[in-house]
Parts: sequence; structure tokens; C-alpha cells
Amino acid sequence: MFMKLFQNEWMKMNSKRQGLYFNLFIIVLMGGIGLVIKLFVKGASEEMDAYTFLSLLSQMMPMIIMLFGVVIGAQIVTDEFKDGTIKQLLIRPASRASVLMSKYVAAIGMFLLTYVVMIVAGFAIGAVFFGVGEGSIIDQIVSISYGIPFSIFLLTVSFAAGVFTTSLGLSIGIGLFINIFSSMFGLMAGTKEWSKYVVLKYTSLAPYAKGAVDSLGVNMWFALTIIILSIALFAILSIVRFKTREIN
Amino acid sequence: MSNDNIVVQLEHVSKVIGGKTIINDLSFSVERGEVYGFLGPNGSGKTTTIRMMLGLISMTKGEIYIEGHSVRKERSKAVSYVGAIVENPELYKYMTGYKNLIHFARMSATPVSKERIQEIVKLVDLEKAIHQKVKTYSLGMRQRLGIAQALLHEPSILILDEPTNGLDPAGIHELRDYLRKLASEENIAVVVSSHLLSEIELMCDRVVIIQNGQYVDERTIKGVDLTHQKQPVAIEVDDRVLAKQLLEPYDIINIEQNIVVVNLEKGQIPDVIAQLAQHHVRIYQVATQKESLEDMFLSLTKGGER
Repeated sequence: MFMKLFQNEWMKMNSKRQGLYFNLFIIVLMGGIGLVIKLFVKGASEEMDAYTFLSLLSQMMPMIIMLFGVVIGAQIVTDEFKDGTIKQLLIRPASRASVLMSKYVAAIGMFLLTYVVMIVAGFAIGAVFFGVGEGSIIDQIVSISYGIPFSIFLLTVSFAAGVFTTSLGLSIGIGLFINIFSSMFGLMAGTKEWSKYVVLKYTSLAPYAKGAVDSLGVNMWFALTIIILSIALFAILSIVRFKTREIN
Repeated sequence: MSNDNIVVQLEHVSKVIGGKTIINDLSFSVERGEVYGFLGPNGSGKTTTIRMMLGLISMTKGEIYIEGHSVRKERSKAVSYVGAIVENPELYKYMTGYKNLIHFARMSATPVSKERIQEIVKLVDLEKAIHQKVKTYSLGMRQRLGIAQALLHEPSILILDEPTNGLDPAGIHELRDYLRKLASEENIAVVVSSHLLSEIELMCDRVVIIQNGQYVDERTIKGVDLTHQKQPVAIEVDDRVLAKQLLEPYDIINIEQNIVVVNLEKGQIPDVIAQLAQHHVRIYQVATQKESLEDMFLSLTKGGER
């Protein structure tokens, strides 16, 4: 049953074309960046290859895709409430928890797919403009992926906000607020001992790359554990709320 | 649940929201092969009841059984027998009609074949438009697609909340014929809610009337055997004293001027007239006073507006 529910969610997302348009948007954006560097930044363009281009993209693209993740996380639930189709899902045999989780998994799937598109298309665009060059693609993929866990956390927050508020605007707003608040949090409380238990500290895992440990003794695995626990907390909250919700 | 013919049974169902009783101790049951009307003025609790039947909202008290399965305890099993349209047919407008049907077929407890989908598309006469997006559909077409999605998994009960809302007269006529056909040919129990009496009268076999969330009455509309049902009969005579004497054995309701009102079965009417005539009571007119559903419903609705 879960697989069929997932297929449904995937079909609906693709029918709305939001994934398609967003992927086209990031491809065009990356192409534009490549073109500008090629034409106007002479010095950089000569030293650049597909690997360095990708590492340049990793400065900004994950941020944009994170926003997309927040939007689809919120939208996949709130759209059904907006259109009244939520009733259609819940008057059928599938349990509420599995309906909700199929949506969650589909949203994460769409988010990760966009990441893949960004890496593949970014590399291809870099290769076309600047040549392939030499480097390790694995290293590039790993470093570009350090933001993924926190992005999934934010997607989960906006998803849960969608279940609680059923309002698209509010849910996206909450996701974005948490994102802005997390950078403030890092500046204000990042050195305090207790901050290591707060997910907001781990917007990127880059500081813990290659076995690095920060001043609070946090390593990659500790950071990842905190993020996963926080994701689980919001996912469970959303299920609990959804199960008891009266559908009017 | 001794009666195998009963598909849906509500037992003393109540719903309280924020201290306010929306539904109060409501009980009724629906049988296979009948179109059952659920009639009440706006705000009387029809939609709330239907939502409880489908498990969309919880009940405060009571039980609802569908094919013997409690909606409270075995919701998944219970609703697998149900096809429904709650308020408007809610569909995914950005997808084609066909994709909508695929979507709902995947959610069925029992597998729905491609052939079944084709069959149902033909049944609701949407073959030409099925591969167009639903946003291009007229309201009538959406309504038909709504019925198609509700019938895909061959449910034993179809629940429709205000199904004729927004339909033109031709559409209403079509829907009515279709629902009657479903009930009689496929032996499906059909529950239709409405605030319009005329609609219910034309469509339904039986009707339950509710007001302010409370049971008011249940009536049989179609195929009623009137022979043994007592009705008030007004008889205008010249000598009401004698008439009263003669009618003593019967159930006299009222005597006003020269009109005697007696509660009689249909078969008793000729006997009574013969008896009066035998004793030379002159009879000017005999009229059965049927309290119509309409009178009752109108007085109800007025009561609701006050």
C-alpha cells in the first residue's frame, strides 16, 4: 500500500510540474553563472574547470535548493487541504500515518532528485564552458552535500507546520524563519556548551569534514545524530497531529 | 447486526464540539438496494454525520457499523466498502480524469483492473474527455467523474453529500435515474443527503429527517403498502351526534361542526361509509387527510429559521 501511495504522490508532484520547472530554473541559473564567468571574468575563467566550477556552485546552489525543499515540504500537505482533496485521501482504507509518510518520503525524494540534477548539470555545464580538468568527483559531491541533512530538517519543519497550520504561506514562513534563526543562533550561542545539543548549530556539516572535531568536542557523527533526532521529532509530531485531526 | 441486509447502522451517535451538541443520539440503518435520503435543513448536522460515517471526524458517543465493521475500531476495513463524495467532488484539477481514476484505484483495498476503469469511464459517459485535465471539465462532468471514483472499487454503499449542488435540471435528472439504477441493479445501498425535499422525494425509497442534530422522523416514500396504515379521514355528515355514536368503535380524532375526523385503515373506509348510510346519515364528503412530507418538512424548516 505504501508504495502505491508514494506513486500517487510522485504522480501528483510531476503533474503540477513544479519539480520540472524548478530543475529547469536551476539549470538555466547555473548556465548563466557559467556564461558570465566565461565571458567577463577572464582570469578566473582560464584557471577554472568542471570541478572548480562545481565547488563554486556549492557556495550558493544548496541554499536555493533548500528553499525549494521548504516549499515542497509545506505544499505537499497544504495543497490537499486547500483543494479539499484531503478528504478523498482519508475516506479510503490507507491509514492516516501512511498517507502522511508517503507524502513526506515523496517530498524528500523530490528534494534529493533536485540535488542530483544540480550536481550532474553543474558538472556538465562546467565541462562545456571550461573543460573537464582534473579532480575527484566524489570529493566534490561530498562537500556539496554537507548542507543536505539540515535542509531535510528544514523540509521536515515546514512539512510539520503544514500539518499543524494547513496554510502554505505560514508553513513556508516558519521554515524560513527557522533557517534565519539558525544562522543567528550560530553567532550568538555557538560557543556555549549546551548549544551542541541544538540542531540549529548544524546548518552545515563542513566543519566536521575528514574527522575534524570542533571546540565543543562535536564530531560528524554527533552532529548527524542530533539532526536525525530532530527530524524524527518533527516527523512524529506531524503524524500525531495528523492522526487526531478532524477533517472539515 | 443480525440482519444481513443492513449495510450501514448508526447506533446512538452523538457529536459534541466545544460543549455544543451537534448530533444528539442519532440512530438509523440503511439496507442493500435502497436509496436512503438524509434530509434536514442547512446546519442540521447532515454533513457532520456523513463525516463521522467516513471516519473524517471522531464521534463523541455511539457506534457506526459498515458491513458489520465499526468505523471507530476498524476504520480501514469499514471504509473499504464505501464510495463517497463529500460536498463537492474533490478532484485533482491539474491532472487528467484518467490519472485521477488511477490515483484512486491505487488507494483501493482490492485491486482495480484497467478494464474496470474503462468500464466505469464508459458508465459515466466520459470516454471523450477522460484524457483531458479536470480543470477543463464542466460541473456536470466533474460530478460524473466524482461518481466514477466513488464506484471504482465496487463498494456496497455509496454516500453522497448534497450530490445535486450546482447541477442543472438535466444533470439532476440524469443523476437521479442513475442512482436508482445503481440501487436496483447493483444492489448498492445509496445514502443521499439533501436540504431539498423535492429532490429526496423523487430519488429515495426511505428518508430520515433530522433537525438540530436530532432524529425527527423516518418515512417510507416509494412502494409503501398503504392498506394497513391508518390515516385521518374527514367525513362531513348532517347528523354528527348519530355519526359519533356509530363511529364509537373507531378512533375518533376530532369533531368540528359537522365534520368528523376518524383514524382509519384504507380497508375500513367503505365499511364506515356503508354503516353511516345504513343508518341514514347523509354524507356530503369523505376526504383522507394525508399529512404530506412537505407539510412536515416545511414546518420543520421554518422552525429552524426562527
